Amino acid sequence: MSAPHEDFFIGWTDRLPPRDRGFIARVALGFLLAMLLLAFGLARTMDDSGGGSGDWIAGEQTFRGTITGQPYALLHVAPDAAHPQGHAMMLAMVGKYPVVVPPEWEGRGLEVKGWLVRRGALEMVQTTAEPRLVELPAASRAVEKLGRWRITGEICDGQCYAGLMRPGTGIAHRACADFCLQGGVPPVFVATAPVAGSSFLLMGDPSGGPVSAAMYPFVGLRVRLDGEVERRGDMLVFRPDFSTAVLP
Amino acid sequence: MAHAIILAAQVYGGVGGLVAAWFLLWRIERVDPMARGAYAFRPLLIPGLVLLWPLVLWRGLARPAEGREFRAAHARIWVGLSIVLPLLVLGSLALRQNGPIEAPPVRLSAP
Repeated sequence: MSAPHEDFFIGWTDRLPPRDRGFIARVALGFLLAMLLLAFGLARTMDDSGGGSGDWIAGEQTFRGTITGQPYALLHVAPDAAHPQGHAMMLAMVGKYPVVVPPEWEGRGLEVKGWLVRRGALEMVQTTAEPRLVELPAASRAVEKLGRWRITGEICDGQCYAGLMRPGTGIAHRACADFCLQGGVPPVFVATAPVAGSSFLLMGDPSGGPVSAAMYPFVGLRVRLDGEVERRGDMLVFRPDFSTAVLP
Repeated sequence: MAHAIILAAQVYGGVGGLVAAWFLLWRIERVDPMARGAYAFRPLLIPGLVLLWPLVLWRGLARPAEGREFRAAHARIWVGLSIVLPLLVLGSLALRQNGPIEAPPVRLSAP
């Protein structure tokens, strides 16, 4: 039989009463296990953040290609081993600003310097200096019309989705995407299933220019849109009519 | 609209500051007798008081609870939170926007 005082908690003894020790140990262990299970369960419910990332090791790089300005600045680089049909890269300035292409630059050679962010075949150059015109052989900028499509997906900003933010999609990223898009970063429509071989499409307005403000209420949400799709190099461009928008 | 929201937040925060000062300087010792003579912890309560000042005002003006009432209230809150918090976590997981659910694109018309 324990002495009576052993049933009391006495702060300065630095010891728990004997009858409480087992209980506290079981509660602490159970709590620890419950928290581990909760952490594991919550982590399992998270969506895959995707494989986007910046090519930070390569640092600032120089790219040369033919520039087009509509609906957003695209640099069409010459074919190489990885891109036998040529490759279209999105452009945006560091700091969430657009690269503005004057009409007289349209179709001319351009040299840009910046950081490359990449997610699969989607690439964006974050330019760090003013682009400059250079002499390059004329490159094909043919536009292939693919018809009118009904596509379900999400409107993301091309910068974060390509790798600056992870995941860069979803409701949690809505405010950031809105901020980037209002700054002028090219929007990308991420389809839930591939469209003509690609799951992401640069967005534009049916009139030919950048997307109108009608886009903003649907940013970061899963939305179904109807619109024309065209292929520019290896980049698909989606020009949705926002009056057809449906939030499934 | 944005200006109205900011103005409302400023007014709410201003009133919260006044309520926090009143509560910490004059009322806290009547609400919780254990706070008598204890001052160092009081600044730590300011953010919570500013945010929850309507509740503070309601509880601060009510008759102070003592002893068994405190313990009974804590027990009720403990039981309530043990139900509400898991419901909040699981509910938010169940109601959140899920990742892409495949919806194949449909070609409506050829070019």
